[in-house]
Amino acid sequence: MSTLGDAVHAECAKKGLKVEPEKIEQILTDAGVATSATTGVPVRLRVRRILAAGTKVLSASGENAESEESGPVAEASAHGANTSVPFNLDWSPADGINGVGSERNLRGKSSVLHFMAWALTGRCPLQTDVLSWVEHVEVEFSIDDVPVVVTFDVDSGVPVGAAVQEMTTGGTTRQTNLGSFSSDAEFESLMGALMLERLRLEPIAMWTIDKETSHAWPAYASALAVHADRLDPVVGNEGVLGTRMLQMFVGTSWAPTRAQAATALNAVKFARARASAKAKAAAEMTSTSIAVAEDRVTNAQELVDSFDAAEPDIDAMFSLAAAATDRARAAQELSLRLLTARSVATQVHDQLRAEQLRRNATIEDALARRFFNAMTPTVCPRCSAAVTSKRRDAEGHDHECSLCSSHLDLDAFAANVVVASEVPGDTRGEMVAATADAEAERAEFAADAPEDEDIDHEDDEHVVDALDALQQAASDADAAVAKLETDLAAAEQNRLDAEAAVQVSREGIERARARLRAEFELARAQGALESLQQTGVPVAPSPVDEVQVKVLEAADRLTGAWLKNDQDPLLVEVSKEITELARSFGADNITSVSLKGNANMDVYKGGAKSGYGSLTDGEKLRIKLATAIALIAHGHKAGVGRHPGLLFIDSPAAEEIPANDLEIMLSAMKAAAEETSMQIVVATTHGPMLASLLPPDNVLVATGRNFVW
Amino acid sequence: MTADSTTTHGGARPQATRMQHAIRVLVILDACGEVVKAGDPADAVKVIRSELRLQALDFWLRNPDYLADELVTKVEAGEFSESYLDTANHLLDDPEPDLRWYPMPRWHYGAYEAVDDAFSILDAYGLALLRRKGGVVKAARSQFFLTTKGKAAVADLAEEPRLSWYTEQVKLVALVAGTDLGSALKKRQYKQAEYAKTELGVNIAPIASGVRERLEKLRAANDHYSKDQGAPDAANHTDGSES
Repeated sequence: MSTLGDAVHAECAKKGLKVEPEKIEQILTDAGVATSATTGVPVRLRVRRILAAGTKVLSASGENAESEESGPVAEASAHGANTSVPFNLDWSPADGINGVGSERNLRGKSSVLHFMAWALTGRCPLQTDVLSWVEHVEVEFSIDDVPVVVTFDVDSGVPVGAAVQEMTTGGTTRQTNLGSFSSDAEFESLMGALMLERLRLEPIAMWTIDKETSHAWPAYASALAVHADRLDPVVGNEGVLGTRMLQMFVGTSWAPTRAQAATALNAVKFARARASAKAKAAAEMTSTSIAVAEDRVTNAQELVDSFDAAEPDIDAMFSLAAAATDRARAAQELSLRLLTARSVATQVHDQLRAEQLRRNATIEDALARRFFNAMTPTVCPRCSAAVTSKRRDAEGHDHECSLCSSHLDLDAFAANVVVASEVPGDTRGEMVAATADAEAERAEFAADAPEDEDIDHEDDEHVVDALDALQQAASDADAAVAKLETDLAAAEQNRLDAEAAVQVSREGIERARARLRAEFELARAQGALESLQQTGVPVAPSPVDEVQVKVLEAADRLTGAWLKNDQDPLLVEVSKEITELARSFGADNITSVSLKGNANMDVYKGGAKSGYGSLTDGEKLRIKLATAIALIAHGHKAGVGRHPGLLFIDSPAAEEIPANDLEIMLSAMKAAAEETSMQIVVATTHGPMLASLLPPDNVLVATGRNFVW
Repeated sequence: MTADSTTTHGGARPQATRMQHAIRVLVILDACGEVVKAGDPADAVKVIRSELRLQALDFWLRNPDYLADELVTKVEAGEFSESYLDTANHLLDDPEPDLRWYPMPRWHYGAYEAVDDAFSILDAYGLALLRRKGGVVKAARSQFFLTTKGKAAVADLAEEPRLSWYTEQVKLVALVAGTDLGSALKKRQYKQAEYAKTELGVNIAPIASGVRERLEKLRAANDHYSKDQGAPDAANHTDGSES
């Protein structure tokens, strides 16, 4: 069992969580959390030699044209022609403080630092034009006194080369190729792996927002430089890494584990949060779907329930339809018969009317004739001759017309009808009959109240036959029509009833169809609901084991506490050192500083406390340099820490540092470097100062308008 | 025998006889004739001084629908009381007038049917006299006189079954005609659209349905305004259907 594993086990047990120790180990291992402390032992990294060769092109408008004063190069530039100048930088910095200087800017002093950084990290910090001049670079490092040479040619900006370890035993130098590269990526990869391994550094695990990021060698390497124009944070050059950098450089035992545990915990928490959000969304979606599906089932069920269960009788429907057809046919037949009967009745009535008219005319005629005949003709209407009594008598005796002497029908005369015998017999007969009828009517008229007589019923026996027969026929026809009308009405009603029955029956079938559709819909709705219910609410298939979280939380807590316990005393020591150094650098108004575990710093000056961030740039530079040097010195003295003891300082005097202050700083740094094993390379325009302060081997200075290389 | 009687609705309609024509002329002379004046024949009591008037009166007596139409017109004009609408209704709907409906053809002077045969009967029995005024060249004007004997015959006729209908019906004709001259009557009859539209020599068509419509309208209007125009003195008025 590991230290951390045991502690986590105990911590979990204390919290009532029973976890097998093996399981804890497994969780920690899987999460990439080292289970034992790794105490940082400083490894010394030094730059021994730097070679850079190539051809620089100086143009009238280039950065190098800044020099408008006399000089071969400047003169060439002034004429506007590009001048190719081969260069060959070869400098071997010594331990302690080294200075790269020129009297002017843009004379290549920063580039010297850049060549070293390039070789150190595999990442090229050179400006494009400078890069295009470089043909070959060779930098020899010493890592705990083991020489490692990084050599590469540059073709069109692409580095091709190798890292070689040189071992000299018994006067023989043996070279071991540590790796080759032929591109920027390969170069960086090689140097990252090589340096982390050799410097015994570990990648810094960080959790940013939603992913784990591993900061490796370039991050450390950048922390080896102090730029006058990049003074935040106090440790390193990247804000988010300040804390971790500090922890690593201070050399706290649990620093890597602490970082790993925190990162692993963040990762699982993030995974858990994301899984829970997903599960929640899924659950919401599912529950909404289920609600919709349930509604659908309810609605479908209601629809199904709204139908009665009666099955439609198709046979009944067909027989009803047949009956309806029969009844319709019957009604149609009756209707036709009625039409015929009406036509017959009309005809009979017409005939009856005609007979009545005829009889009226006949009888009226007879009555009129009788009326006139009862009178005595007096004069011939034709010739106005008087009708003599002789002629009148002749009617009785000789049966001659008193007017025209025509022979009269004797029989008719006996029946009171005056008609010439030459008149056709039929006519005479009709006249006699009509007269008889008229006589009868007169007799009846005289007997009864005449005003109530109805002409249709006052007929004589003689004529009753035809008229009565017609009247009978008419009333029969009317009765037939009436009966047929009644029958037809009944038949129509029957037909309507039958059709209504068919309609009802048909509606029953329609309802059955609709019910079937509703049942289908219900079945579908139920199916949909069931499948949703079976799928169920996805019970957050949490990829995050709560035990894992608990274990990592415990690990995070424990390592945090341990780290703090371990680190706090160290920070007190370092803070003391920083204060001294900062004061020696000229910031004598600062009474004390307190470096925090989170890489923040309280600064006390003139009795007041302020943060690092609120200091002036000059103060910041002094404190930042003091901190870097203090971390190196502390590691060296205590034998605990991970700072490789190499420091690049670029243009410190640019930031409100007066020349004499710089001198004080350099002197102080020199003193510190003599006490402690470290290598510092300072690039500054105060070349002469470097030359005066530092031993010649430690100085690479261009004087006047000259270039460093 | 009467001229061109013809078939109309409801099948064969028998021709009116000379005797019926004579009866009609007799009652028309009695009911519609004016009292004779000095210079008229000694035995005459009533006279119709134009054949046009006689023909026009006969037309109304034979065509109950036109007579009903005249009654409606008179009620409409406020000359007759509203009760005559009932009378008109009877004329249109009862079987009695229809039995005596004998359409007349139209000639230049309006409805016309030769009256000679019928009048000769009246003449032979001394019931009526025909006198013609004017010469041979200029169209003569006939005057139709009713004799005392004729007047007595009409009284007898009123006691006869069936024939007494004419003595009643002619009272309505007299009422409608008033004292208008023949030409005035003809004009009135021309106003009755159907009459005017009839071609010469063709029986004048019945207008019963149109009259019925007018009558209903008038009745509805009168019911609405409830106005009683007051009837003219019509002591002899009876419903056409009763006799």
